[in-house]
Amino acid sequence: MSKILCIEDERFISELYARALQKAGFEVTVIADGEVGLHEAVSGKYDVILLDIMLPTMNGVDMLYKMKSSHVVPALRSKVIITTNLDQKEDIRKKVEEMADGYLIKAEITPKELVSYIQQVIV
Amino acid sequence: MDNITKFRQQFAVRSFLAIIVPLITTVVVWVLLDYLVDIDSIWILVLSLLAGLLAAIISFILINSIATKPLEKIEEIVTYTLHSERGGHLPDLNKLPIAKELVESISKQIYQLGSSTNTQSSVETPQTNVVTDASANKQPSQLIIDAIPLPIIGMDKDQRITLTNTAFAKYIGKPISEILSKPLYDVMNLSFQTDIGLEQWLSKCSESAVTASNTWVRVRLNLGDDTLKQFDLVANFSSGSTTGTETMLAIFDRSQQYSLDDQEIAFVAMAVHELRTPMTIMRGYIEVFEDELSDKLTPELVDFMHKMQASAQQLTAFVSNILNVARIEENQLFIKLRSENWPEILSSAIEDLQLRASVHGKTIELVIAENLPPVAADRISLHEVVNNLVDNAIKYSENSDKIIVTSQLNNDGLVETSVQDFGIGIPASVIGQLFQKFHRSHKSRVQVGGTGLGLYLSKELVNAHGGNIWVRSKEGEGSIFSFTILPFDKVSNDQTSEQDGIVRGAHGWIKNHSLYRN
Repeated sequence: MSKILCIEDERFISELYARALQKAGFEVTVIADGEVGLHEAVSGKYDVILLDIMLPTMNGVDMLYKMKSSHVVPALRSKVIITTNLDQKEDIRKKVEEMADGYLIKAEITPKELVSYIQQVIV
Repeated sequence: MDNITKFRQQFAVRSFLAIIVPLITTVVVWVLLDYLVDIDSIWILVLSLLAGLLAAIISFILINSIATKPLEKIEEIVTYTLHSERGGHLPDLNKLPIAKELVESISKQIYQLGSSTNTQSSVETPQTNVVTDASANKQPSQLIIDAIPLPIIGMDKDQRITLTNTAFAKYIGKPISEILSKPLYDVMNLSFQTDIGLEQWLSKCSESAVTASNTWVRVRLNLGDDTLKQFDLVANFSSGSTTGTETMLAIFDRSQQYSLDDQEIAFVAMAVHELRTPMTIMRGYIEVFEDELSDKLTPELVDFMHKMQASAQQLTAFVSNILNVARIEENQLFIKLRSENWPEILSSAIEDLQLRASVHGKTIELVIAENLPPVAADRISLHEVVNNLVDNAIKYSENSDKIIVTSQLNNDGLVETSVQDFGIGIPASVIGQLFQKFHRSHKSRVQVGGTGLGLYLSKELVNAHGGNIWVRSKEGEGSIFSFTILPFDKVSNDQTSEQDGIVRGAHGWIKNHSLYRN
């Protein structure tokens, strides 16, 4: 069973995502805080990390830099998918896309579409 | 010439005096000696003549000095101009007894001639034209352009910088020694919002034009360390100019104003973020209801749920439209063209629209030719184009229930996609303005909602792909909107690896907004 970490501070959204993912057979952990989320993310337990950008205590872009930095040993095996409603400035977005495995605008997808996207990413 | 006449008069007065003074001296001495001294008249004659001779010698020396002084000054001026780099003092003309005005006017002309020959020689060996802080050593023309607060550069035919001013050095934060005689593109990393930038324009000019000028707005200058300057640029080209400076550039800084526009975009992006969050949640819960309640509800309620779902989806698409239009307006929309499978993008876009079509009682028929090559496309942008065109077809076909979407390779080798409806059509009088912002079909203003952003956005996005968009319509019979996109191999060139994609933008700016990564 694949493990998914959902770092998302909007409770309704994380509830919807967790429900849809659990129904599809994933094990889901939800964390609503940037620093706590980063600590959990680098534990290496997860196959997929869904990462919001606007988060309390630390934003998702900084978290992504830290997750992918060389200080994380062994290197993170988790796939990181940015899930946000924020359309970034071009330069930031480019950097983010280089490091992450996906960039999704949450409003453009439903929870079920997210599930099928994750299934594609894991394969 | 006035100065010459004045000089002649001054000289005439002085030479007359030089002759008359010895004569008068002789007579006066004669008379005085005759009255006062009792000597032989022969001695009186000798002494008077001696006094007269003495006066004549003094006169001669004075007149000689006065008459040659102007020439001497002119020689000093010529020497000073020829060897100005050695320094020294500018000749002082105030002490000239005669011909002051004449010498002043001649000296001005000498200085002018001198400065233009110096500029010419400095073009051949630009490194000698080192501009130092000591303004005493600067050429008069350099002093003038330094006095202009506008950043200015001149370039030769190889686009090397031949002249510049302190305002420019200050603007880009480099010393003048690092600017002069360097190629322009080493000094400034410019990006233009139009397809024809300075470089392309100059190469066109050098082929055909004698003189030409051009203006670019919102030119961006990246100075590294996250400093971005934005300005309007004016260029003036003059072929084969004798000074060696072929192109003059003037910069009108607009950094502050344009960065305010960027902040407006940031505001729109934030507003869009706030709108999207509740929409995400609504769409999520509606989906849960649809999945888990559909078999418990009456067909009517299921239909209501679908309408709710379709509307939430439509709202999401509209919110993205707003952000994209704001970006196009500020030249901030960029797309990244990759080699894509068009049938796949088109089918997925149509699939997303099926629900909206069906709640309005329409069916979408999709016909895709089999021989389509990979296209140069930005997925999300073209998804938006198809979405907008089909959305319009749904809105404007009240009494018909069919929408036909076709895609095929046209005679020019481009992939042409058409969306046909059988609705109210568009009157010929408004077709011309259809793709402009905020335009809507006049007849339908009352019964159909919409912002008039969709077609404008579609046009900008299709154009950024290098394609065209157009419409054929007949009132009462319906409309066909068509657009072309290019096969990838037509857009790509040898320098572009497929991995990097090809970067293009609405109005020439570039944006990567691909959603899915492989």
